[in-house]
Amino acid sequence: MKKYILAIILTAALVLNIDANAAFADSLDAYRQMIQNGQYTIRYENVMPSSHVTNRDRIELFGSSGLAVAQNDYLIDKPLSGLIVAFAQDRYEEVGDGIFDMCRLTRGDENFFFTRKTDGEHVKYYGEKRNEVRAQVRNRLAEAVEGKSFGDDDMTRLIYAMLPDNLKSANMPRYTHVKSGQLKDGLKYEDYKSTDDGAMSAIRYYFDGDRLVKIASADYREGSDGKIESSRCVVNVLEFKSKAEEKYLTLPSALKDVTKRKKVG
Amino acid sequence: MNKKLFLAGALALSMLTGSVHAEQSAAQDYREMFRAENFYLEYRDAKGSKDRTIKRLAAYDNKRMERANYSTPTWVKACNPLGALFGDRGKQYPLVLHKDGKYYQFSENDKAIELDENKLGDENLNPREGWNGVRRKLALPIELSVFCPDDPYSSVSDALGTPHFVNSYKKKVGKKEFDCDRYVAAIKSLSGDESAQLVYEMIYDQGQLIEAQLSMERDGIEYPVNTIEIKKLTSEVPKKAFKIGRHTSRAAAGTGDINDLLEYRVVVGTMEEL
Repeated sequence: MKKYILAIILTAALVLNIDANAAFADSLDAYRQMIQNGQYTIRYENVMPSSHVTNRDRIELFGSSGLAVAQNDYLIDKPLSGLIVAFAQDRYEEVGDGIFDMCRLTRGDENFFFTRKTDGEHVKYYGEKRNEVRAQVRNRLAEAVEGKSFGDDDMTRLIYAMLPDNLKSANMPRYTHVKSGQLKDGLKYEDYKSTDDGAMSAIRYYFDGDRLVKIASADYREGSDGKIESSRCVVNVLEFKSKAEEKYLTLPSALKDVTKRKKVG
Repeated sequence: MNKKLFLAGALALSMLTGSVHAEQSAAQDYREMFRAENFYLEYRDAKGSKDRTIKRLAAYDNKRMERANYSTPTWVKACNPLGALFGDRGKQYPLVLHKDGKYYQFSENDKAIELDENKLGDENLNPREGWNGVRRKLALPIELSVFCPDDPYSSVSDALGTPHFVNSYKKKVGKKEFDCDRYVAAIKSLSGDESAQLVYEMIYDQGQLIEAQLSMERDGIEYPVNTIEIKKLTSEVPKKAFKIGRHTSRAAAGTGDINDLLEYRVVVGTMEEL
């Protein structure tokens, strides 16, 4: 079966005209820089989200840094919209369908997990219970080992794929630049690929001028029954800017922080 | 002559310093009992944690089991001072067992669902049964990975290096001072650089491990991760560590068939004792 994987990889290599030694292309540099500077706002739509978490997914002893979107029954197999805001050590992430959204505000060493339900103009927040939220300890270890999350698992993978190796965890796949070009409709693109562990992944970043507007990926791997499994993902990037929308870096006014903290001093 | 005296003094000092900085002798015993899969461990998160459940992990005769002890809440003990005289007798429950090529998850003392170990990755398994978490439940806590970095039940990330001993010193915990062995493990980036460091501090009282503190150092800042309190760690495995209810029923794991859809448990047999 590995022959088939190899055949797919070689075919993809020919189609994509692999040039593994090419330097990182230009248009993504500005976005890499924003991530490295730790200050940005990203809005996106994941139009082909991956399916439910399965029993093959590894669970680490130290927990996870993600939002556990793939464990949420309601959000499975739905197009998702996401928002990520970062300013230095503080972050805000939300992922959902606009009716039900999972949210996390990270401030210093604390995480506030809550959900937002929107019914027309009525918005309800639920943390510990309705309108109350309690801080949890930020999982710095999971962040150091797995990396920070960028909304759902797909977007996290697509963002990390564009970053240099020294900013990725050792258990992430290594992506190399394949080629850049321009499509007939005027959009420019940059292609990256990874062939770690008998799996193959190809990612195309689309640009309108220098503005990142879309990311598409295709993944192939060998399943437990020896058959080739594939998955695709398309993310529309609605906004990716170096300004952090700071209004998201505080709790919504309807939510009360009920955390019991030790008095200092 | 003075030079000789100085050298002799320096040698004596270096030997003395060497003995102060040596690893606690019990560390090798712990390594051996974990390697031999023959141990009994009782632990819980240290004071200040929300979850103070006592966890019991036992390995013996090619089987491993996790049990939990849900202790009686303080307000219940306050209402029942007579009961408190006899100590806190919180109920113990079996949680997860691995034996003879099968994993068992207990919903009650005498009710378990079972799964062949080679089907653990089956994507048809009912995700609500949590089979992807059973190995983690049976794994040694990460705070103790200095003694067993290759625990067969642990999922070890490529990004985590193997912990190695650094030195030994005295450390104040609460009001007392204890012996402390320090270990570090690198957290590596994809380029092979060390992006952070895991720091393990093993606290010993009279040669026995009583606490394991885990923290992370990144960019010169130390972040506490977790601390566990070791209540018991021995190679003498008590019989109660593998105690299950009489006539424990064994039901098949849900694999998405009609029984699963109707939430009907198919009992495939019973278990009497382990």
